This record gives sequence, structure tokens and C-alpha cells, in this order.
Amino acid sequence: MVVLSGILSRMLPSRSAEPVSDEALAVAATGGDRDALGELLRRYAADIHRLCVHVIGPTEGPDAAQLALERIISRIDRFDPARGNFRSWALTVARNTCRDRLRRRGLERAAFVRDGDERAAEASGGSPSPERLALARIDVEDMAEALAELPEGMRTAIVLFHVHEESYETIAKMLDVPKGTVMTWLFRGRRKLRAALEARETSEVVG
Amino acid sequence: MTHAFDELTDEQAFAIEALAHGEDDLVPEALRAELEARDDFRALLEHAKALSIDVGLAFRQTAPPEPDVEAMVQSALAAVPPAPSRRMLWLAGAVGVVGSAGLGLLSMRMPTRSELLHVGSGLVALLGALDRLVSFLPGGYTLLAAALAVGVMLLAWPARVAARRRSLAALFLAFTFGTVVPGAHAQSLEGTWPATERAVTVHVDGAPCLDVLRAGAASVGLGLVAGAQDLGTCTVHLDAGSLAALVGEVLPEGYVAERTEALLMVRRAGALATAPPTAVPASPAPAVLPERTTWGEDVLVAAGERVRAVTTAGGDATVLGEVLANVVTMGGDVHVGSHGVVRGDLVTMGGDVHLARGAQVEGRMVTMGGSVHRDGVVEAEDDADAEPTLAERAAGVGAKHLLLFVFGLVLVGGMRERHAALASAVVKEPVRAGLYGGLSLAAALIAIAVLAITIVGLPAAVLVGLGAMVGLYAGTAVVASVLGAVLPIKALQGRPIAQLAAGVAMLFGVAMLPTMLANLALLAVAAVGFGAVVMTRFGRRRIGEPAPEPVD
Repeated sequence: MVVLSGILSRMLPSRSAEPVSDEALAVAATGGDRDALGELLRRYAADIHRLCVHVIGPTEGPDAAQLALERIISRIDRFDPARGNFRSWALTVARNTCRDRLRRRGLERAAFVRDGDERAAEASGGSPSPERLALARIDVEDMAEALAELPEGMRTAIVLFHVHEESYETIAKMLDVPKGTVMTWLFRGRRKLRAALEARETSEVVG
Repeated sequence: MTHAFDELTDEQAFAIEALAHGEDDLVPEALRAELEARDDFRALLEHAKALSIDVGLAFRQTAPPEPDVEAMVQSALAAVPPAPSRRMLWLAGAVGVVGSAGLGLLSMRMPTRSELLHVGSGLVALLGALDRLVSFLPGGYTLLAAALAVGVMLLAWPARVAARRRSLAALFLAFTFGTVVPGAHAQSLEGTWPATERAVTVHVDGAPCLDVLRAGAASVGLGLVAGAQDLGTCTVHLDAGSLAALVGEVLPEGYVAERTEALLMVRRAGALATAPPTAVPASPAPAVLPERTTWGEDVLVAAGERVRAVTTAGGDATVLGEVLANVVTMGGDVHVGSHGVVRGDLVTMGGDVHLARGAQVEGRMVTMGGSVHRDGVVEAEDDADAEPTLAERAAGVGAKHLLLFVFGLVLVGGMRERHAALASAVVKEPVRAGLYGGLSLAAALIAIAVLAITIVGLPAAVLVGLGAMVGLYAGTAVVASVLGAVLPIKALQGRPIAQLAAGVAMLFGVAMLPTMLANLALLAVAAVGFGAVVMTRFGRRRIGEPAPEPVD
């Protein structure tokens, strides 16, 4: 593996000094500065990883995130700093990558393969209503499976809103839908998500 | 509560979402006042706020483990080489194209006048034979045009998919061609028609056409052999014209007039003139049988027979008697017996020539893809196929590799993601790619051979051949890029065009080595490259990524 990455890394230029702001890095990156692009990716790779894991699941998400990073690199010349910030653009590329992957695999509404990553549920500290307890006991696997039952746009909107704390406007721009649609998706999506999680808990109790 | 939520309109859902997240100004004043005045909506609002907080908490609780960001970024950067500048791409492309053309010219030995004449006469004979073969088919050129139309449609399909344009235009053009071409060949003259001869003068109104032709032929000293009994009636007024002009006036469309030294033979186009001719010889002439044209059948000119010409496609020709004009075979051998005589040219395409002792061929003998056996002994190849000099070989191999370089530039500059996926496959799984490539190439060759047997399958065979060719070139170019990247030369690092050039130069060096080992190495490179193309669906899929699931 070391040898292979060595061969591939020979296709890279040597690294240079880092600019500071996102904007400066983005301008340099679109001009062909690989170091600036690398620095930008370091800043947002974790966000991209989180988005992909939530949107297409913990098993396939990391691969999709890696592919999204490669797409960002190969399409950096299409990014226009005047039309938005790099983070939003990168997350849009990641979202499109995840969507393509879902379509290709026919996993739009399919359950994910369990990867055995069991995690103990922790109490959220809120009121002890049955609904809140249901949300508090879930693990990453339950969340992925429950999210998978939502339509892709609704799912991505919820992840962008709650995980990445994006505004309605930004989400609308990234998903290319009206702001009102995003808000309706969020409102109804939370309900669907909770219903899916409750159904999972009920089936586990019964089982 | 669930029921209440489900009954909300989109407008109400939007309003509660906005109010629950402090975006009060997004909700129209009247709607807000109405909602806030109702107890059930206030309860829904509180519920929505709590749910939003809970979902946020749930996401925080189920946050995936932090990835190794540095490894992710390094891996991604390694997988996608930097984009070359457009200026460099154009410059390199121009150098590649011009260099390839120049070297290609240098690699060719200029043919002599005699060689040009030799090839030229062979081509003329072939074209004439093709014309006879097509005329012989039921439907003639119309059938050919229809086959062409189908072929164009099949070939246009992938182009249409690629360009998202309709193939109707291509189909229309093909059918237009198909209807025009038969018109152009509706009536034809064959044989030798002298430029100057005795003039023909005919003035008739409503006379039988055969009588008119018979009179015209007689006036220039020819007998008439009519392969058709009734050509209808004609009205002709020709003063001091040529026989050819008279034939043009009298002969209906779809008929052929062939002239020999003593005869004017008239028959329906495509029909074998084997029916007993209604000959009216003007002077005693030797019995000359009409030409023999076959598809997929052998032709025999028996001893003592005199035949005008012989044309076969997919059959052998055996000449024991005399053929006055050309003998042409496509995909078949020619055997000329010890008393056999061919007065014209003898042309074979994809077949051998076997000449017995004493056999005579007075015209040129052109064999394409075959050999000449004289009295059982294979004749030596002529100078045209002589071994090229080292310089000619270097120029030829160099031209091919410069074309490979140009092909690689297209991938590096215009299809970066695909190039990256292909390079990744070559680096990560060269052995599997090699096996895939070898098997796929073999399968493609078999498919081409099977498809090419039938006329219907020919367009598909062409498609498979073209696809394999493109895949082979693309894969080999990617392997060249990887080889260039492997070279321990600092100047190549991060320069995809230079890496491609270096890799192509390496392949060129290997190709110039006159050893079997070098050929095997090039074959392996081609197999690995082609395998990477197959495995990644021409770079559309990454290695390790599962294929799409079948749709139920």
C-alpha cells in the first residue's frame, strides 16, 4: 500500500506555504495551486465525511466522502468564489456524489448492511417522554437506517440543518430548491425520522 | 398530536417551522396571528421546537467517528493528478499530431510508377467487379443502400446517445443516397466502346426497340444478342450519332448493354445472361459466353469455353478455358489450369492464385492478402513488402506512439476523472486488469469474427472493433502515464503531460527492440490497460465500487 500511494503521490507537485483565509485559498486553488486546495480540503474533509455518513450510511459513507474529495479536486476549476463560499460548494459536490451513489446502487430506500458498530445509547438529558427516550437510545446504525427511509432531498436537508447547522437559505441553494420547500421538508422530515426510529425501537422490544 | 401534524397544510407546516426556529418574519402577519390565537397550534409549535432539539441531540449522539482527514486528503490528491494548463495541452497536442504525420510520411517508402499502376489497375478491376456483384444482387444498389442505411443507423446510435441527437437525419441521408444511386446506375454500358466509329443514323416512330438496336448495331458491324425478348417500342431521331448514344436513347432503365468485338449484348441489370441468346451475328464470331458472377459459389470456366469475365464473392474461380476480360475473386482462390488463359487482369482480395504450368495471364496480377503459387511453388513477395530499414521502422513506430501520446492528452486534459479512475485501477490491481484485458480482447476478437460472417452483423462487428480499438489505445495511454509517474525523475513529478510523454517514450523504446520479450511486454501493457478500461467501465466506476444492482 505504501508503494502504491508512493506511485500515485508522484503525480503531485511539491507542497508550499499555506494562505490563511478560505477566500484566499479558494482563489489560489482555482488558479491551480494544489497546496491551497489541499489546505481547503483539510478544513472541510470532516464535514464532507459526516454528511456522507449520515446521507448514505456508515458503511458506504466514507467511500463516498473520499470520492467526493476527488471530485472536488478534479472540478475545482468550476468553482467560482464570487458565487458562494467553498464550504457550501464542497458540500454540494458531496451531496451530489452521495445522491449519484444512491441512485447507482438502488439504495434510495433500501436498508443498510449492518457493520456491527454497536454503540451504547446515552440519555439526552431532556424530559423523559417516550418519544424523547426513543431518540435518546438510538445509535449510529439506527439513525442511518431511519434516515434511509426518508427521501434523499429531505434526508440531506435534515443533515445539513442539524449536523452542519446550515441556514435555510444555504440549504435551499445547495439543494437547488425553494427555501419554503426546505422548511417544509425539515418540518415533515423530523416527524418521519422520529416515526422511523420509534418503529425500530418497537420492533426491537417486540423481537 | 400525530393526527394534528398530519393534517397540516404545507403553508401551516412552513409557518410552524419558521416560528419554531425564530424566523417569525418569514410568516405573514395574519397567519401568525391566527396560529397564535389557537391552543392546538400553540401546542404543535411547542412540540415542533422540542422535536427539533431532540433530533439535533440525536445527531450529535450518533455523530460518526472523526475521520483521518490528512489520509483522506492525501489519498484524494494522489488519485487526481493536477490539471495541465490548456496552453500546454494544445502545444503538446500540436507537437503530437504534426510529429505523427511527419514520421508517418517518413516511414512510408514512395511507390514507383509501376507499383502505382499495378495497384491502380487492381483497384479499377475490383471496383468493376463490385459493380457487377451488386448488380447481380436482387435489388442491386437499392439493397446496398438499404443495408448502408441500416448500418448508418446502427453506427449512428452510439453517436446519438453521446451527442443526444437523433439518427433520423443520418437515416434520411442514407435512404436518399440509396434512392439516388440506383438512378445513377439504372442503365449502364459495359465492355469496350470506341470513342470514334461509324456514325449511326436512326429515324423511327413507335418501332420495336429491339429492332432499332439491331439496326443500329448492324450499322457499325455488330450482331445483337438480346437477353430480353421485349423492350417495348421506341421513337428515336438520331443523326450521325454514336451507337452508345442510340443505346442511351433506346435502352430502358435497369438494362445493361455490353459490347464486345463482334457483339452488342443487351440484358437486364443483375441478370445472368445464361439464357440462349437470340443472336443475329452480322459476321461469323467465336462463341463468347457472358460473364459469370456469383455470390458464395465457385465458378468454373471449362476447357474450350470462352467467357467474357469472371467475378466471385466468397467462391473460388477455376479457369480451364479462356476468360476475355478480368477474373476477380473476393475471399476466394483462383486456379488457372495449364491451358487456361486470362486475357485481362487477375485480381484476388483475400485469396491465393494457383497457376499451373502453361497457364497464361496477359494482364496484371494483383493479390491483396494472398500469395501466388506458380506450378505449386510460392512466389517470393515483391519489393513493396520488403523489410523496412531501421530508420523507416523507427519513424513508423514513432508515428504510432505519437498518436498514442495525443490520445493520452485527450484523457489527461478532457477526462481527468476517468483518467484518474483508470490509473487507479492500473496501479492497484495490475494483475487482475491484465487478466481481464487478455480475456476481453480475446472475447472481442471472437465477437468480431462471428459478427462479421453475416452482412447483418457487420455494423455490430465494426462497432465492437472500434470500441476495442479505442479501449486499447486509452488503456495503453493510461499505463504510459503510470509508467511515467513511476520513473524516479523529479522533473516529472506533478506534471501529467511530461509523465505521459515519458511513459510513451518508454513504450516506444520497448517497441523498437526486435525481441519476442519486447512484444510480450507490449502485449502485457495493452492487456493491463484494456483490462482497466473494462473493469472501470472506461473510468466511470472506481475499483472496489460494486456494480449497480439490477432494477426490479
